[in-house]
Amino acid sequence: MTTYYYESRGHNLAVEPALKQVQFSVINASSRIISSMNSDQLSSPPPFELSLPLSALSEPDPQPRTQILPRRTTDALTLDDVPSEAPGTVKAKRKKRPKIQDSDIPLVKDAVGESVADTFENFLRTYVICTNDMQYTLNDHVDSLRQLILHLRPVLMGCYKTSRPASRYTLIKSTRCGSTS
Amino acid sequence: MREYELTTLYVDFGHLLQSDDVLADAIQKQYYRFLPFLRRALWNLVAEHEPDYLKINPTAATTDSANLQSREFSVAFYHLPLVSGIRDLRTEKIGTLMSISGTVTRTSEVRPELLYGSFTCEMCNGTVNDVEQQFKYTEVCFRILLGHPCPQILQPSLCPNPTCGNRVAWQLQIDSSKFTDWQKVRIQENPSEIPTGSMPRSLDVILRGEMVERAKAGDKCVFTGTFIVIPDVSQLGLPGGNKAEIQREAFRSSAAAGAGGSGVTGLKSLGVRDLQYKTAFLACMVHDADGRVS
Repeated sequence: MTTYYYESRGHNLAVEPALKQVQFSVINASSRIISSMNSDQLSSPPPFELSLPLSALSEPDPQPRTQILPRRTTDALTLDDVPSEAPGTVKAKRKKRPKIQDSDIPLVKDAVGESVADTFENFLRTYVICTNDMQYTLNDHVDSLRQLILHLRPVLMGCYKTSRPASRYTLIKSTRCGSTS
Repeated sequence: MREYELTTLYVDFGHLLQSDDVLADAIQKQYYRFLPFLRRALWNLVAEHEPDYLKINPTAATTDSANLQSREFSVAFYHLPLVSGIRDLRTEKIGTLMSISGTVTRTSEVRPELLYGSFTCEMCNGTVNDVEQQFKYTEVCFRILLGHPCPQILQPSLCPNPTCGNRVAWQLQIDSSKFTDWQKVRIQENPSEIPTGSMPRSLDVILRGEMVERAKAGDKCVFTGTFIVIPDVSQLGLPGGNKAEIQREAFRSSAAAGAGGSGVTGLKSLGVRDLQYKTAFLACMVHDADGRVS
């Protein structure tokens, strides 16, 4: 198989002959267009300069490039002037976003989580609140008992003094005194 | 809670086990999933019994009701039946409620962490409230409070005003945003738990709210919470990215240029960076190893 070498921007390219025929036809067609557009009708057509290697010409664009439109901004004042889009268009079909509820705790849709929240709330209500109530009740009882003790303290101290048995030290001392005497 | 101005409800896990073992099992296995629901249950309870305690005036300058913010309540579990070591943390433990023990080696300063951001649209002056900022703002909150722009802001994706369409121009409203205290504590394995011939392992523990400044360096503590994996967003937000990675990339590109041409490059050359992750322990309760609360 014979290969043809072309020099383009200092690079040698080896291409198939069939491919090259297509490229030559493209080059000739484009040079004819350029010469027909030239009003002065130059005696010799201008040299065709390739800015890309030939291999780039042979490959057609697989997908047509979409035209990038400038971003359309909507002014609030001219909103009514903008014609409403026909029903069935993509924009009309698009679902409306759910409105964010202005609550303190963000809502999360989780059925199991909801049931856990309910159960935990019941636990807190029955256990913590009841425990707190019991604790408060117990504290009240303790307070009343403390007040009672404070009231009865003199009486109790009197009873304690009268019924206080002799300590071991005094007993030993008395026995020693008795023995020495 | 109201008597002591607390926002944390301490729950003995033993009581929960005695009361409802199914609920206790569900909370223990999927704690991180159910955490918002537990907080909401507590919020409902406070709203039922002490509705005045729900709101707080952060500025305390005016008594205007519009200035009031809702409090953030949290639930702290303690007395879990099992206390694990740092070496026992595995993938299956991620998101579960567990207790770990360790010795505190380093504590960071207490920083403000933005929980929910409030943003104002710079085009239509609309306000978007309660934009959740999980693990995003922590390291840059000082910059926000000082008024510096921050690249790591998790902003609203779209202005709710249908005629605006703004996606980028947002201004953070510090007064109406919700901050909480944040502290990072580094713990190390207890000497008795280190296997023979092994080096002690370390782990970062994140403390929030009333749990900050409870652990001091040298304390042997038990942390109750969950093992989490968080994206290392601090590396993404830096203008130059990860310094070591950038240096490696520069070395590679220079080597490729020396070899004769840039060649085929990957997405990294276009500015796409790897998202790095790190593990940490999000604690809801701290107490000493002997059971004493600091």
